[in-house]
Amino acid sequence: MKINTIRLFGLLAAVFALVFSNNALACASCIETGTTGVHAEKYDQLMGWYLLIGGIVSLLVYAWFTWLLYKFRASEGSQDPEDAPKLGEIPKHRGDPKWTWFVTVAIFAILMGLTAGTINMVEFYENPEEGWGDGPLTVQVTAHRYYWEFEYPNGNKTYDNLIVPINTIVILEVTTDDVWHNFAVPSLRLKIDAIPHQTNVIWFDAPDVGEYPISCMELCGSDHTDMTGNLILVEPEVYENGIDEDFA
Amino acid sequence: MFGDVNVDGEVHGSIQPFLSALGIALLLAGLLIWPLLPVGLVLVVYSLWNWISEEVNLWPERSSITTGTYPATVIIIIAEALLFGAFFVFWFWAKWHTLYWDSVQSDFSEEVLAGRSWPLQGVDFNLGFVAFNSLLLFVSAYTANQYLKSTESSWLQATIVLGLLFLLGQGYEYYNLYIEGLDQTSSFGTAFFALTGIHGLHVLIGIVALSILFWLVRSDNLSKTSQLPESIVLYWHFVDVIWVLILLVVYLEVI
Amino acid sequence: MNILENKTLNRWLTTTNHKDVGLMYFFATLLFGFIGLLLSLLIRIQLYQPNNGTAWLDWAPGDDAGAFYNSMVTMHGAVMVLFFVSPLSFAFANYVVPLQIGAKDMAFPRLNALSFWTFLFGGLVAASGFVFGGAADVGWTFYSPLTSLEYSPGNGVNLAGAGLVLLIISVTASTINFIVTILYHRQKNMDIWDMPMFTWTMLFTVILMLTIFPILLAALLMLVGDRLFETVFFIDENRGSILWGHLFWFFGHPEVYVVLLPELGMLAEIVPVFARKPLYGKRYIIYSLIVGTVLSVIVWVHHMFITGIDPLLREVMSVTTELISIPFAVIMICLIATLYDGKITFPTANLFALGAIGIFVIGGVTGVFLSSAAIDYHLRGTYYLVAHFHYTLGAVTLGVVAAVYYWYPLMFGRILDERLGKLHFWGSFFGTILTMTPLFYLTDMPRRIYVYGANEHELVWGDYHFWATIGAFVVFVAQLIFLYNLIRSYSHGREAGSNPWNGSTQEWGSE
Repeated sequence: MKINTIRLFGLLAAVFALVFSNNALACASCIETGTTGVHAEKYDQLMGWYLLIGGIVSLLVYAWFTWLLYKFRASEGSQDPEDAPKLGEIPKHRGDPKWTWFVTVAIFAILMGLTAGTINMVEFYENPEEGWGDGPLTVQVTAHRYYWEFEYPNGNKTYDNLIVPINTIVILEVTTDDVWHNFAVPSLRLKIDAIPHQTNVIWFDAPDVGEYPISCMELCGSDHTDMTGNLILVEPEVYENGIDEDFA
Repeated sequence: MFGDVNVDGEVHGSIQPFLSALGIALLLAGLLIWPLLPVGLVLVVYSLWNWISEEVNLWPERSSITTGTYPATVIIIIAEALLFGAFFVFWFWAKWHTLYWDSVQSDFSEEVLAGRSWPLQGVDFNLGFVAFNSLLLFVSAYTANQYLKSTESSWLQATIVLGLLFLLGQGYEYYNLYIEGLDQTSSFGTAFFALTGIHGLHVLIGIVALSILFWLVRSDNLSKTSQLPESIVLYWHFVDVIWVLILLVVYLEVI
Repeated sequence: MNILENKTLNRWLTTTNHKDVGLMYFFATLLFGFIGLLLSLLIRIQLYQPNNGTAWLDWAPGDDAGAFYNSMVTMHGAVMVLFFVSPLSFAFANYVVPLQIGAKDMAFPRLNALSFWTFLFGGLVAASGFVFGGAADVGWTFYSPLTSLEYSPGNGVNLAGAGLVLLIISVTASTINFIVTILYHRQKNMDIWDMPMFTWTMLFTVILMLTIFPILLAALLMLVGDRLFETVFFIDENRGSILWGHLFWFFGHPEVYVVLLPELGMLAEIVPVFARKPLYGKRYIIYSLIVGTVLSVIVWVHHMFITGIDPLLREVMSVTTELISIPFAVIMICLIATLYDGKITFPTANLFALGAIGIFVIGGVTGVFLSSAAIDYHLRGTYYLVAHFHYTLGAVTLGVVAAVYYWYPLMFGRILDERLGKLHFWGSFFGTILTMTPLFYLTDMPRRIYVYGANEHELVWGDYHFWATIGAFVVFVAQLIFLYNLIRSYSHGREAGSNPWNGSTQEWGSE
């Protein structure tokens, strides 16, 4: 093969690889199973916007970048540009402020648009429909090395498995008994730090019965790996009947 | 390719940076393995002493030392100011959490919260003595400035003595507070000893620097163009300013 | 005292010349880099399939597989960021910056030597935990109260703390040295606006270092005080976790810009030379650097979005974090625009530089995602985050390696072998993408766990980790080629002459 063919091949392969990984961004969160709940819905919507715009921007950059590399590659006999870097000379200023301003303002506009969505979403996470007060169901979550303890309004406790009814606003008051942990339910897009002697609150409302994994997402010691659990969403009747006997 | 040992006839080479670094490493390791501590300390003192003596012999040929000392000192002061900043942050952080982080926001029992106070109950600062001690430091700032104006080395001597007296006074104050029951095991004690202790350490560093300057002046080794005097005096003023802040924040509690 | 009469040893122990110091940094960082790389390989081997046994981890000191895995993760992070990428930039900074601005040497040559030795001992002390009963296993973020004596009684945290204190001494000395050198020791006729880009970015790097490392020092002193002298800085009653978070991330976030800025400078040196065009918008890049440096110290709370911190603060820091992407996007666009109208050639140095830009775009875009507080709620602490920062740091590493190819002729008089170099590039480039892209999919897998696969869903993670492990080995083999190339070209490389790349900056005109 001629050296130029190899180069072209390399360029194409590199671009392909980058676009492939760009695609991975767009696919992010697509392998998660058992997505449920109003948080996940809104979150995926917001993430969709970020992915779409981020994807378009980076693909545009790659297209432009590739075109420049191809168009202005050195070919046999081509001459150095007049203002090519020369030893001992301070290079001449090059550039046009209007392009820089254009880029700055364009990115700023895009980012502020996205940020509006973000702020909206933060407010959503922060404000459960009926306020933080005594919601329908408040569960105390205490992290221990290396298990979860859940205490229900009636004083019952379960360990590692959190059992709550569907279609109910559930408020979790998360804290820890020892080190910094992190309570996460990826399927519901929920995550909150468990910090010593501090109670962090989080709420959710999910419609689908099922088991959703709970993980600790902050390094908490040598058995951090084992600190898993399940969020078990059940029909309200099952919850009413079972909370006293089966699940305790 | 490789750098030459001699650049433009200047002899740069020295084993002292290596020895100093080794000494500092041993000193830190000495916090874990006690026998290493004295070894590290001796090595640091020995190498820094040699470093200074070697530099003295080089000064006539070395322009950078004479033109760079002052900006270097300013940079050091910025770094130190940020260091103190972090400890002041801790002071306010601990104070706030002692006074206002009540059982509504945290899940501590009332007893635990009642055991915390700011300033610690039973600890009274002897403000008269502190004022006297501060005066020593402020006068030393004046004498340092006088040295710059007159280049009389006796002003330097006075500054060093005043600095040492200040440290003695602080030691006396620590001793009394310790008897009153203040130690590092309470938030207030930790914040207090951290701020004043690190300040004291800086006073000590300043005294060492002043002593070196004094020795250089006395042995006639200080080159005319050296920026060392104003650099060290600037550092000394910085230590003073920090003390004023400590006075306002810690002793007088204006904030 | 025979050993002190050994000429070679004596020469290197006593040297204070900026070129020598630069070379010593170069070799030391290669050593630390390989330690970090080996740790990452061990991590990848452990993760390559679901339900992988821990038999080999059990050989580890302390008989605790989890603790040993945690210490590998911790040391991989700490060594790569603090003792490899950043100091490798300083290797070139030491060697090149004085030449670029026509200074005879650094302003304080001996202080410079002290910088190097404290850095070296710092790295060795921090890593020595592996030999002395277990290195730090608390994550490179050192979150309190996990670091307290109660939960980490071993010496690992102490040793890491001591190593970092040594590093801070080194960094502070370097800061003084570089600021004074760059501001006061330029040759007479060099205006500050005429300084080459690498010197510019080093100036911003050290200014940023000056701002943040004292805070890390304070935090470490507090930590050491708590562990050794019974002080109570980080007790729960003081809400020590959050306090540590603030202090650490005030340092920790700008630290990634400390790592990034020199690499941007290297790209801004390398790309114009091989595009045969002046850098596009040098002034806009410098303005962007100013804005980026300032913004970088007011974004740290984005590491603490889910600590229950005030929502208003979250929103404000979300905005500042999104804003900080603007200056760096402008810099990237300027770098790419430099190619316009050029005559681009593709020696290995330029391949690495262009590859770094390509990879950085993805790192940057995913960074914008993570800057959103709401999106961070879901992605923080997962492999998505891991993939994001490995894309940015991977780009940084590619950029710094570009600088190795670019400045190797200056340092050793010979050009690195191009054929091996290209193998190295394609291996590193595709290897990085292959390692990190699959991890973007694992948005529900926690970081720092060493066994997975308890249920059907977790078994799926295995497919992704399998490819990531393959990618890591590709990268590793490429680095072996690199190592071989470095050694071989030292004696067999093509003679470089004084200005092999037709560079315009002054270091190529020096002897």
